[in-house]
Amino acid sequence: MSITDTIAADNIDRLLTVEIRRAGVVRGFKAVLQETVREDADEALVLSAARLLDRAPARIGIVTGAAVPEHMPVGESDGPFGAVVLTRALERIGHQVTIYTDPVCAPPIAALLRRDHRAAGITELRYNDRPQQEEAAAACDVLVAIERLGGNVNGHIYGMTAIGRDAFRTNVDHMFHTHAKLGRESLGIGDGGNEIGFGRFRERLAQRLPQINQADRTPCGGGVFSAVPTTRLAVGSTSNLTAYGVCAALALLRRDAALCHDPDDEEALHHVGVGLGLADGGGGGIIAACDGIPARTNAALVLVMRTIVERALEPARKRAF
Amino acid sequence: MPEQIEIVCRNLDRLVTVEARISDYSRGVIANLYEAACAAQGGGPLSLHAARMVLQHARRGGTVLMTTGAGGPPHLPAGETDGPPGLVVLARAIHQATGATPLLLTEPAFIDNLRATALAAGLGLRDADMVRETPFATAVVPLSSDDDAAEQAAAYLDRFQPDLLISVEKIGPNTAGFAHMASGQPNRGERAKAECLFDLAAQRGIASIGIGDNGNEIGFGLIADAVKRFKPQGDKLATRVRTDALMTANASNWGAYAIVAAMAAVTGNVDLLHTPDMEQRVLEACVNAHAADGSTGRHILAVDGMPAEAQRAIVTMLGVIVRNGMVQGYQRPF
Repeated sequence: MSITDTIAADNIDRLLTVEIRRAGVVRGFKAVLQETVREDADEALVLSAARLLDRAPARIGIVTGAAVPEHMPVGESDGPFGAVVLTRALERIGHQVTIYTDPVCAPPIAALLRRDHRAAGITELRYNDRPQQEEAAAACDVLVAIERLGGNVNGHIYGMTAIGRDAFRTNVDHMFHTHAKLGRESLGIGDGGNEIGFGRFRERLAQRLPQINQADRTPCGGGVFSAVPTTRLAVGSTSNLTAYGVCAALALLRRDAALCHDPDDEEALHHVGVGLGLADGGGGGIIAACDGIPARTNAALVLVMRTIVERALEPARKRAF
Repeated sequence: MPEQIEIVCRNLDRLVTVEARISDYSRGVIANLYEAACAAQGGGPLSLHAARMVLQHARRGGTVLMTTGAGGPPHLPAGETDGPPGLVVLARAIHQATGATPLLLTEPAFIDNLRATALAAGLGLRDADMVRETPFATAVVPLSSDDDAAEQAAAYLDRFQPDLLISVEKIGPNTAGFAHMASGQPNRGERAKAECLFDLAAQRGIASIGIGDNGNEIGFGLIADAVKRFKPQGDKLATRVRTDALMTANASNWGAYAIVAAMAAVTGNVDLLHTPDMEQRVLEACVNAHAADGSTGRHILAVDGMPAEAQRAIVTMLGVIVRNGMVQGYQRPF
């Protein structure tokens, strides 16, 4: 790994903290979120995450899905796109992937996997079925959570608006705790602090970002920040973009730019997602956007990310002037 | 709303300080220079600081002197693609936002290039003495590289009476009077001595903004110590020339675009925003008029080694950061 690659990964992290989302959802905190997590890491978060995945062929479970009845009945676009794109990269380097999600979220994710000719299977999570989660933990060498809520200090899961999700969404904390007890490593990919993976940073984040934690607004008083840790954690503007950043870091490690996500495909994914009923988490509309960021803008970011990788992988040259 | 604008501008800054350049001597540098520039200017965001300066000083009926031009024979005979696009896009926005007339100054060898680039940005070309009578127009005037540069600078300031000076990717000399390229090599060719303009403007109390990406450009005198510390060959290439405001970016064009975006956020006028299509048009015009990519020296649609698609992508993102950031009254209901 050259210094150029390290700098490239640092800049992917930096790019991921550019907040483009629409005003009206909480903003102005992604950099603090990432910087807090980075305090405990000795390299870019995407690079640390990619190193976990850069291993001999293994069984990797990806947990995703964020449906809200009436508002986002089959889930939002943030999470599924990242899961499918990461699956593509993981299968390319030989891993076997299983995606775990709630039954209502499974059909669109299955369609996205078919569209991409992925071998990965889907396991539907039965509501708070602990034996199933133990089985899943045992079946995976590495667990990855992408935009998957984790319980707060009181074990409750909340959206960023401090509204509870316990009533209808499976809490997968037990899966990650069981997996950790088996001595296995895991990766969290999140964008708000309320997802699986932020557990080690919860106290610091609650101190630094009380307006995001909203302890006073959550009915249990525990705030939205998750208490569930993972071994590695990557943080960005949206969970999808962060997952793409992990792919880009894998490309640096493997010196294979083809592991990067493709901007044209990013835009296409949004339009296919609309057809599958995936909602924009920024407002709940079935539109080609993710967390309020239009498809083309997400594609633009993917292109800049790929440019960083391609420039880093170019052979060194000596400028004559 | 002020907090909302600040969040927008912090993210504009963050985007344009992402490094995606090709040259190894430019890697791992810009975030450090950005932090130093923020510290020297009250904490940033830099795009907001510069935008406010533009909106405070530029005025209808007045002029803004704007200079660019890097490179020169034999490798970059008509200049490079970083500088002219940023300059003309900013010039167009300044006129649109304030009514001020932008006057562009560069080396005689780069004049044809800058004229072509300005035209592509929608700025008509007129004679310098009558351009104020024509909306959305500019004039490109020569900047001397000879011993008469100081005399010329005084004459220009007297003649045009500018309210503001702006420099985009314009190399300035170090404390010993020597200018260097970003690679640390001595500047060859006929470099226009734009520092004479900025030195004299400072003496006369005229506000100034510098935009650059390596530390050798006019404006970085404000943080010369940081340039020496963080930039390879910085002890040689750090310019002594400072400006009142300094905008640092991964490419100087990006710095100019961020200021335009910040102007749109501050004024609430999204028509000021640069667009991806205009970026394509401006870059093509610049290259067709013989400019070269500054990293490779090739006459291709690239800026500092980054392809046109990446330039368009940055412009796209800058625009959406502003548009999304200006949404008011929305609250997610679930």
